[in-house]
Amino acid sequence: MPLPTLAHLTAAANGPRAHRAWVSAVLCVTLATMGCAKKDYKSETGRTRAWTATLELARQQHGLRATNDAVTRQLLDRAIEARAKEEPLLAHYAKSDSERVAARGVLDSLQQQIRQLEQATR
Amino acid sequence: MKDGLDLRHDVQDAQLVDRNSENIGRCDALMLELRDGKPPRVATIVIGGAARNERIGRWMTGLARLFHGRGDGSDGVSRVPFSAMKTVGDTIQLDVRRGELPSEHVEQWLAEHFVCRIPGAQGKKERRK
Amino acid sequence: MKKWAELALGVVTSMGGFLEVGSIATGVQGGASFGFQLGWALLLGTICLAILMEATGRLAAVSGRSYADLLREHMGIRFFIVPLVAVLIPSFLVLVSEIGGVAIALQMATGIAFRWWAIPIALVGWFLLWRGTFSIVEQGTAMLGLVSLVFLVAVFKMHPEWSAIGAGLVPSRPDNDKAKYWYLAVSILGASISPYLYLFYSAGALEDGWTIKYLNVNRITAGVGNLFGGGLALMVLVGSAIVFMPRNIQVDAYEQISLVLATPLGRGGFVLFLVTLFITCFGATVEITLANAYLLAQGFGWPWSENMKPAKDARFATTYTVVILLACIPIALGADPLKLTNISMVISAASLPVTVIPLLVLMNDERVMTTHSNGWLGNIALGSIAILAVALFVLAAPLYHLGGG
Repeated sequence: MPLPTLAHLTAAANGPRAHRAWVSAVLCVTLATMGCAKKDYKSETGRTRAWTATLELARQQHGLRATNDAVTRQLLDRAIEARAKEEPLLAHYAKSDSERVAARGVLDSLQQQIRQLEQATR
Repeated sequence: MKDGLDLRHDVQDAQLVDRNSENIGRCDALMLELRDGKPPRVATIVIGGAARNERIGRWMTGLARLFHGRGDGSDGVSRVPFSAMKTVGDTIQLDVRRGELPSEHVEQWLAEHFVCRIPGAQGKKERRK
Repeated sequence: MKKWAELALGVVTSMGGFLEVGSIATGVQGGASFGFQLGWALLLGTICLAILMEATGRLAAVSGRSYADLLREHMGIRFFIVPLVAVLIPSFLVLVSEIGGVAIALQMATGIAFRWWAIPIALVGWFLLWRGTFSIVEQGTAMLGLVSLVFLVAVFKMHPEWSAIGAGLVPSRPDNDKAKYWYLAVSILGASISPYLYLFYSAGALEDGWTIKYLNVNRITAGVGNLFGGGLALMVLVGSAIVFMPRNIQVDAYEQISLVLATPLGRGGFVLFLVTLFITCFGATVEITLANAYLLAQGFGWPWSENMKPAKDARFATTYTVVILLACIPIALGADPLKLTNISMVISAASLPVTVIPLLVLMNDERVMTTHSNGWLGNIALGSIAILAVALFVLAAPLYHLGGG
């Protein structure tokens, strides 16, 4: 099958620098956009609810002695961190009154689970 | 077997080995000797150093200067006469000893001052199939 | 007889060494968000990896040279720098993530924060490379990695709908959250098709002294071994789908993953999860470190071998020492291992073209491959992967922005 050899392919790249400048530019743009991911009201309420569900499951497994204390405590810490992070985010993304009320409810459920797990691991 | 040596394909960037078949780097450049009244001929195989860095690009030259700190550019370059070529195949064997080559100074320096200072550097069950 | 033993060993090694932090993290996230639906991404990634590994293995067996070696020789130093950098940067990030995985496993086991484990892990990994031979490093960690079979056991215990799993192996469109779906597909592909894997495989073929006689061993090791390994990775996705998706749990922390095995298998499953995470990530740590050292040493023509004593390949030994010690620094400084893993998988996916396209060309070069160069089927396969690689290069960053985080 007559494919070009690597020499043919790289002849252009072994030559002028413009080729590599273009590749570097694309790489820079790629890396620059890496830091930001899309967030909105739906994603953040979903995330908060996910942590609530996680803690419920964690409490269940902790009760069954399936997980060790270290992990349960670490999950608790992560949930507390998540709650602290989500509260201002949800305040920012909730645009209508109903959204604000719903956000409050979601945060409260998480707080409740946090308290319950804290008690269970005391 | 083809007749003649394709310099670009068979020599440049080829793996070089010394008399004991140990790796001594790659052919980074070929130097032609210009002679009055006679056609130029391939005189030297260049390994490492400024020649290689220049082929990579200016940034590499700058980086190397940072490490070596010297500006003369002659350090770490091995110039081996073309006549030292013994065999050509997957690797090119040169009639030199590894220890003689300036481009191997980094290897020797690291071996002496870093690797061999750490226990266990000399012993390993070498299992060759 | 010896060939059969080598074959079996090769398959087992591929299987036990398949899982690592990337496939675990992406599989769990994929399963939690989309159930079995992303199974096809794992299947596709596994098949691509098998094809790429068979190719680089065949390259090494036929030519007696590794892929990195041939890349330098056929591309010239100037263009070689492109794949060199394009492999070193993503694989370094993946390496940091693997160390993060080991560190988190130890944090989960002991309660001591993961940052404190970074340096000890790097030192133990370094010691294994310093004193161990290639077979010890490769096979030892992979055999221990068979503990990851616990995921298979967990899934069986949960009695999934196997037909639904099968349906997930066929590509389908998501009902909602399209951006997240495709982002996760890309990260699963990036986790499965990491360049360091097939580069390491070709260097390993040389360390093991493969010749033309090993072509069938190569085919079966690359094909069957990866298929079994991919099956295990699928079990991770399925397990997460069964435990997390009904509860709407999203995975933002490694500690959550322990629940995937704890729920069906209790304390035993939990412990085996920690052991699995530890061993598979540790194995990958050592492997990626070696892969980077091979790439540099072979590209620049230094003496190299994991079977040589360090005194005889000082630059090679220094390289892997520096690489593994540098890689533990971000974890020691407290970088979030899961976020790092997610980013590194996407960057890995984006970096594929520079190692896939030259491979396609080399596999057709009769001066290199003699009578074993690619036939039309091999070229269609590799060519398709090349097209996929370019697509991933273009889509990776936008998808991360739209659907990731």
